[in-house]
Amino acid sequence: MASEDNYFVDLITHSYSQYLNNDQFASVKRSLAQLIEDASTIRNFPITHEDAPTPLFSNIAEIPPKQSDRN
Amino acid sequence: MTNKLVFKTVRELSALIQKKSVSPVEVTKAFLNRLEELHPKYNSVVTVTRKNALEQAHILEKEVLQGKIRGMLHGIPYGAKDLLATKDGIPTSWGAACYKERCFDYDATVVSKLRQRGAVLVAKLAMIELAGGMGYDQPNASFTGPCKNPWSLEAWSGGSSSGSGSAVGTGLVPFAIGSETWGSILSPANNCGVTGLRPSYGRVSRYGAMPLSWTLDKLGPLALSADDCGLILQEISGPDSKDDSAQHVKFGYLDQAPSKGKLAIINGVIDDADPEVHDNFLESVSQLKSWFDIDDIEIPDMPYHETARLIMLSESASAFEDFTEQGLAKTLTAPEDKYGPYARTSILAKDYIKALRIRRVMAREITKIMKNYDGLIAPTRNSAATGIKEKFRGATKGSGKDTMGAIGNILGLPAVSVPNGFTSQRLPTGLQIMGSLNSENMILSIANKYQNEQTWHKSHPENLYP
Repeated sequence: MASEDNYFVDLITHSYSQYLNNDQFASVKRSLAQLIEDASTIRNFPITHEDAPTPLFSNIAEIPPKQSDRN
Repeated sequence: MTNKLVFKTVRELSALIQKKSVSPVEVTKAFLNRLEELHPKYNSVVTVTRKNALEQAHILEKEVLQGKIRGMLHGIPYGAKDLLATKDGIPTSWGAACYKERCFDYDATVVSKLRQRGAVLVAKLAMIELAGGMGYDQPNASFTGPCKNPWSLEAWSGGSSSGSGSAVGTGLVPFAIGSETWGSILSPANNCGVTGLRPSYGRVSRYGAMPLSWTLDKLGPLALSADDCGLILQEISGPDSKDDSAQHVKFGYLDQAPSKGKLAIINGVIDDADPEVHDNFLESVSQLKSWFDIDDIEIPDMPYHETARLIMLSESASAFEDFTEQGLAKTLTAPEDKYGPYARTSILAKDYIKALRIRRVMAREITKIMKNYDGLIAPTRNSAATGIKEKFRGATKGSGKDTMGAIGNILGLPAVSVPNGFTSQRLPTGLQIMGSLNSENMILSIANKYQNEQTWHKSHPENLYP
């Protein structure tokens, strides 16, 4: 996790440091920490190969039951 | 004249116009005058559209005299959140200082539809800059200044549809169009003591609206009653060739009897509510129990907040890519917005796609639960309006919880917020009713029933009566 954090900090520094002072950069790092925590939660949530992404930018209509639930 | 009109519902004003008790020009002038007199005190308006409004009102008046009525909105003034494009030299600022002079040469579909149906645009309404997409956490996050609450100038109107809530609550417009990605219709409805409807995803075309998150954004009405919200939604919904996310079926407003007679409360959903919000909610539950069975339910343990945040932040990184790359965030008003867009540029595609896969699982699991109920209920927000200089607890930044909001917005479910009481500081609190996809008639019927028995929505600040 620490290496991912550092990678993104480097990426943001490279791309956007011209727009940020030191205090703002410290706040960006805190936001990044929250995001990485969220991403970690998402990554650890168990799903199966049957769980495809929902179609982009569309309604959640009736989602059919999983094939494994039907069998 | 203004005495007869302020704090009248759309339905009441429409009856007056159709009976020719008042004319569209009289109504429009009355609200324009009131807007110009009061809006500076509340920071709720960006542009008053006097010239265009009166031109339109004269046309509509002639039609009334000819016996031609376009519908319930004929001659009714309204305000549009300033993320909706408007042509004819009316600026559309998105709440951001760098865009305050910018004009589009087209109208958003919702603005066109309202014009066609006879509604009169009298104002572009203040909003949080970029609809809160940069991560604001206090009210002074717009070039128009912090938007003030109808019930107290020391309290915030809520956001990001700040002006929409404040202008309806102060009687400057009979209704407004706002938007919600996560909380931005329901929050100002709660804070300002008005009724707000977040429709189902795709109900209302988003063509011409500033995008923040294509998976989560919805447009909807704020008004003085749930009945008004139903009337307005009927006029603004429907297919649009310019927005392929808009549903193909137009919404027809119909007060319907509950099919199951059952509501549910998610366990734990009031745990973080302030005591007076908690108490007002329990009063509402007690009232609703006279008509419904109400169950306490568990929902699956899923990462609702994290999924909503990841989807919203990924998509906003794309929506504001040019803005971010040009370094325009430094021109924003809120200090926290000046650095807001940068962290999210690091979200990986695989995490975004995983969030969309979790969305599918959520849809399946939550739909199974909601099939058994006419709606889920909760306090609209965990607190009444916060102070105009205070930070607020926000689920979008992870400093507060909003489970109903996370679920509702990820899955595109409709919700209505109705006033349900006051705090000891005389600030409104709200009750939200959330339904299954496309169940606006059901939740509006429940809200109508509640508002037929309770009169919270008829309370208005005493100092604002003309």
